[in-house]
Amino acid sequence: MFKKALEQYSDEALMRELIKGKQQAFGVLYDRYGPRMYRYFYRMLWQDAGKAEDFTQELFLKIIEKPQSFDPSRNFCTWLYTLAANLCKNEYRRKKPCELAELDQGVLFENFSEKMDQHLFDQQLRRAIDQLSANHRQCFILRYQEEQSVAEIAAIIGCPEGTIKSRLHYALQQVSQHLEAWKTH
Amino acid sequence: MDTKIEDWAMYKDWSALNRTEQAQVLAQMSQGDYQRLHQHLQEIKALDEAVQPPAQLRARLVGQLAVQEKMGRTQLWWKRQVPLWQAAAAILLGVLSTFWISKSEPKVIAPTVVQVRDTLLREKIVWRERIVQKTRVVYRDRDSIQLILNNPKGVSLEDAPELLGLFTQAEK
Repeated sequence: MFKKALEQYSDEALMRELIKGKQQAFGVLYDRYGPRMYRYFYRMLWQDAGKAEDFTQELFLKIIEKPQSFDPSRNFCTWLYTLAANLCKNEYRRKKPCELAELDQGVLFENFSEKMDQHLFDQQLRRAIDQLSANHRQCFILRYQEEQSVAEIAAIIGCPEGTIKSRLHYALQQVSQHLEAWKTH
Repeated sequence: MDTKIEDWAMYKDWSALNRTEQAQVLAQMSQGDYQRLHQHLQEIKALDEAVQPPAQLRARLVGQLAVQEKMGRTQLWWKRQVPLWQAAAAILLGVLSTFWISKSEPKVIAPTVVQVRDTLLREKIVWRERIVQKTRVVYRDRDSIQLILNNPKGVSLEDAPELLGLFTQAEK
C-alpha cells in the first residue's frame, strides 16, 4: 500500500525518501529507470548484455551506497545519465584500441544479397551507430534513443548546447547516409 | 537543419504536422526528405527497444540495499556523513575548550629543596730543604805537613799515600 503511494512521488522526492532510509523508494526508482539504464548501457557498450548488466548494477549500487551524493535541487534523470555517461567514458578509455577497431572492420554491405529483413536492417543500423566516434555516439544515443533534450544532453556531458547540436547533426547525417546506401542496394 | 524540425521528425509524421509546420519544413527540405528523416528516427528509436535487464538484477540490488541498511546501523556508524555545521561546531568547541584550559590558573607546586653537605679534605705536602752541615775537626799529623812543606808544588797521592789518610779522616 505504501509502495503505491510512493509511485506517485517524483524522482527527486523518492531520492529524499531513500536518504531517509525508506528502502521501498529504491524499488520504485529501479522500476522507473532500471530497464532504461540497462538499454542505455547495452547500446553504448556495443550490445554486450553482460557488460550492460554489470554497469547497471554498478550504477544502482552507487545510489544504494551514497544516496546523499545526489543533490535534490538537481534533476534526478540528468544526474543518473551523467553517472552512466561517466561509467561509459571510463570503459571507452579502458577498452583497447584494437578491440574498438574490430567493430569498425565490419563490412557495411555484407549479406546484402540476403532477404532484407528486420534483423539485417537492425544489424546495419547498429554498425552505422558503432562507426561513429565515442562523442558522436554518446550524443546520438542520448538524443534519438534515450530521447533526452539538447539542454539535458549538454548538462549530462558537460558541453555547450551548440557543440551538442553540431555533433547531433553530423551523427544523424552519417547514420542516414549509411541507411540510405544500404536500402538502395 | 533546424532543431525544431528534428524534434517534429522524431514524433510526428508528415500528415500530423499542421500547415504552418509543413511550411517551415518545406522551407528547408522536401516532403520526401522529411518523411525519410521521420522514418529513420523511428527506426533508430525502435532499435533494441525490447532489450530488458535480467530479472535477478533487481532482486540482487534490493538485497544489497538491505545488507547496506543493516551494516549502516551497526558496523558503519563511523562512516556516517556529518553535516557541515555539526563538524564546524565540534571544531569550534574543541578550540574554545583548549583556550579555556590555557587561560585557567596553573597549579603551583612547591619545590622541595634538599641540602646535602659533604667534607672536603685537602692535603698539602710541603717540602723543606734542610742543609745539614757536618763539622769535623781534623788534626794535622806531622808527616803530612812535613811532606807539604818539602814539596811546595804539590805531590801526587801515589807518591804520598799518607795524604790519603787526610781524606779518609775527613769522611769519618
